[in-house]
Amino acid sequence: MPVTHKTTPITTPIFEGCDGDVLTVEDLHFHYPDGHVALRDVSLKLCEGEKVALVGPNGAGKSTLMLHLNGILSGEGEMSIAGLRIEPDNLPAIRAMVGLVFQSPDDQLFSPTVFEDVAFGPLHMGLPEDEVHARVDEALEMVRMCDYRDRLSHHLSMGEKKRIAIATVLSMRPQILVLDEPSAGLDPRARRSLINLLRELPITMLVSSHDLHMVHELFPRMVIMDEGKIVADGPTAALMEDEVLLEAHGLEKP
Amino acid sequence: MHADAFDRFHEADSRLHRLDPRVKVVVTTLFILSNALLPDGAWAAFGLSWIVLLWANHLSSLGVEFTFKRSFIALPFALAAISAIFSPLGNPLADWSIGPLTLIPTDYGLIKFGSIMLRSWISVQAAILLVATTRFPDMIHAFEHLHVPAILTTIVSFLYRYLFVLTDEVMRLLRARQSRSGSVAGLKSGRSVVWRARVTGNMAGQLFLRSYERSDRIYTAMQARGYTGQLRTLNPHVMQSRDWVFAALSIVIILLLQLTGRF
Amino acid sequence: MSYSPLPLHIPDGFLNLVISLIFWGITIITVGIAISKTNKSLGEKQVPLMGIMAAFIFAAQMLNFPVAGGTSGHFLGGALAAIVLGPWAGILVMTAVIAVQGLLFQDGGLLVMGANIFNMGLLTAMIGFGLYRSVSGRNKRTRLVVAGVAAWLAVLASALVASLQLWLSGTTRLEIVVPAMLGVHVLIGLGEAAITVAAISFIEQTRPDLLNEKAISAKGGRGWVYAGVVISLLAVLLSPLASANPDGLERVARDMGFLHLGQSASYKILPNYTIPFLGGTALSTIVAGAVGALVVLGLMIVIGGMLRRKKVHQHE
Repeated sequence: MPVTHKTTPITTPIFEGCDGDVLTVEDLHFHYPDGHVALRDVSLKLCEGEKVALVGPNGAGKSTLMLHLNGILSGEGEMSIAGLRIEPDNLPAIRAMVGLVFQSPDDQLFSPTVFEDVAFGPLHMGLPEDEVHARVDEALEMVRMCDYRDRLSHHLSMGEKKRIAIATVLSMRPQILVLDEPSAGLDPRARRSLINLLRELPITMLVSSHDLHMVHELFPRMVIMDEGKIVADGPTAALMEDEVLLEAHGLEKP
Repeated sequence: MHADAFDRFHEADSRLHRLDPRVKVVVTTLFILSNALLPDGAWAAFGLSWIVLLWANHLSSLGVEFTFKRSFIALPFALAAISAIFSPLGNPLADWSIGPLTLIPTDYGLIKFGSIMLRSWISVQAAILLVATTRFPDMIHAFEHLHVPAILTTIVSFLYRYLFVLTDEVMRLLRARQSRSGSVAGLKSGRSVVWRARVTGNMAGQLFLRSYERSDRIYTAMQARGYTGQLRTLNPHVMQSRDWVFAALSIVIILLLQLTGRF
Repeated sequence: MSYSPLPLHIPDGFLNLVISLIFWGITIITVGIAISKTNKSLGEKQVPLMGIMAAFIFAAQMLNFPVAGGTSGHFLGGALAAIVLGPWAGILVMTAVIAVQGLLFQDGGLLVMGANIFNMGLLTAMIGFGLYRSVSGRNKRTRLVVAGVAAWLAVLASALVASLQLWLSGTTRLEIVVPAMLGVHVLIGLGEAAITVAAISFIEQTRPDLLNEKAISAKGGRGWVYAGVVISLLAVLLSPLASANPDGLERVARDMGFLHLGQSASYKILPNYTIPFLGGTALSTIVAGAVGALVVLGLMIVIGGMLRRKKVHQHE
């Protein structure tokens, strides 16, 4: 019988002096219309260049938290991106700064061609056409999919779609990349390719995943969520050793 | 979480819930028909119809105010009927000049308008009560029993089954678009209406293709279970004496309402 | 919670009983024909397809885009359904959608559902398919333009017929309802056209095989074209006529006895429980209305049949 821990957050600030210059979440509380409380007093800070993994069992509130980061959901508490508070008036500006990629790429790709999907963000922002072209090329280059520019999104494989989905937000040059289960549903080759991609991207990122091998490999910092709360936030290596903690929150040591 | 949005059915153990769905569909239709047949200005009859409705609410054990709370759905359409007040028939009640327009409300017009609104308001509540006390699959069965062609009821069954799936996809597509609809200071965002319409059309096209291809998979699954073109369903509805009694009672009440409206 | 905020779903109480019944009659006949046609020409695979398509139309009606100042454009889908699925399947799909909207969401009444199905389902499918079919052999640009025009006209025609129904029922005044409905729907129709065109363009790009197979396999194509053109012309001609010269139209209607039908204070179907409508004017107007509508429908079927036979003879 596993021993269940009382959930005391380990708030070892790994990056001393990190004042949350990219992302600050303070005491976020959110409940759905039917009363179900999805987030309780969630607080989080991310600094420039950090790569942070968000792990926890299904229903822990990871996706819910992510949907708050670009204002799709709004709960009680304060949040800001690069100093700009997330408020109803600021949402368009926030969305240009937060690159949120959903779990299912089919939801993300809604244009006929790859080019149009990647171009949507910059186009909507009102950038001039040549700038848009430049950004699309840049984004596709970052995900190593330049050849796919004129392909039809509909015909791509899951792995290809996931990379294009990332490109669709990279073209907006966001401050932070927020990915929901990027490696879910990928075969080993596509997964390896994605891991390499994430390693190379020089952007602050918050990535939720069940894939603890990938977490261990890529993300120096790990945040564990369970039942709407953050129960641990610290160096991945150290947390991964704490088997009791992992098991208590539905995780298995890789 | 989403399923609730499409479930107009409210679970309860009441007389109405337990009635045969055919009876409920027919009686609701007759009740709405009765409203339509009541002449303009039959206030007493309208009032009684409303009381009958309240009593039906009570029978459903969903609360007397259940349909009332949900009844203002037709309100925007009221605007369409407002011009009835200014009918050329009847005695003028006032003379309003608004710019080049001259509006003359008449007594006939007011009576007409009031009657239309009451009929509509009462009828929509009857429909609301019907769906609240009858599971949708049971309603589909009821229509099959009432000889609506099977192909139509089958299409509606599929519609119902996949409605949630598809609307969920639409919500997520809309969410994805929202997430990438950003703006930067100093630039006008959103481009043109035409562009936005095109993007929306693309989303519709995407949705269409996914739906089309999904139907292929469904057909394959159906074939795997022996489907050869005829959908056989179990229709476990048997009319019981309480159903007949309810039907008879309802018809009597409706006739009484009609009588009240004529005198 | 309304999923289709287009002001075309008429609730119960707004149309008088005679009009409701007339349109129920037309709808039942047309849908019956659609059923027999779909049974014949399509396989059983089409039933799940039509069901999903109905769910698609329903869901697609939730797609919106900001137009201006807080308003947003929406989508009805009748023309698109007919263009991609063929006219008869399109009719069945729209019937299912409108039925569920009325039944489950009270978006549109029950007694008036026949009229709603006619306006938003039958009319839009006929115009959409009829016009598109006439250019189905042409190049892509022509087809897209025509599809857009067809979608726009379809919305306009729905609005016009709905206005006429409301007027004939005595619910509204002609000179108020027609300009209002048409004015609003001229704009809404643009949104419909834009979305329809973009959707078809998308499908052409990704699965062109889907469109061609439907356009070619629909039999009696020419009949549809003529029907579509005739109805569209009627819509186009009647609308400015109605809004510009309501008095003229009202005079005509009065002469024919229509006006009496709409505005009679004591119009009763079962006055004092005697045998219904033996009164001269009432009977003649009912008959006139029903005959008029049935004539249009009959013309379509006859022309379609004649042309089909002609085609067959030519091939032999």
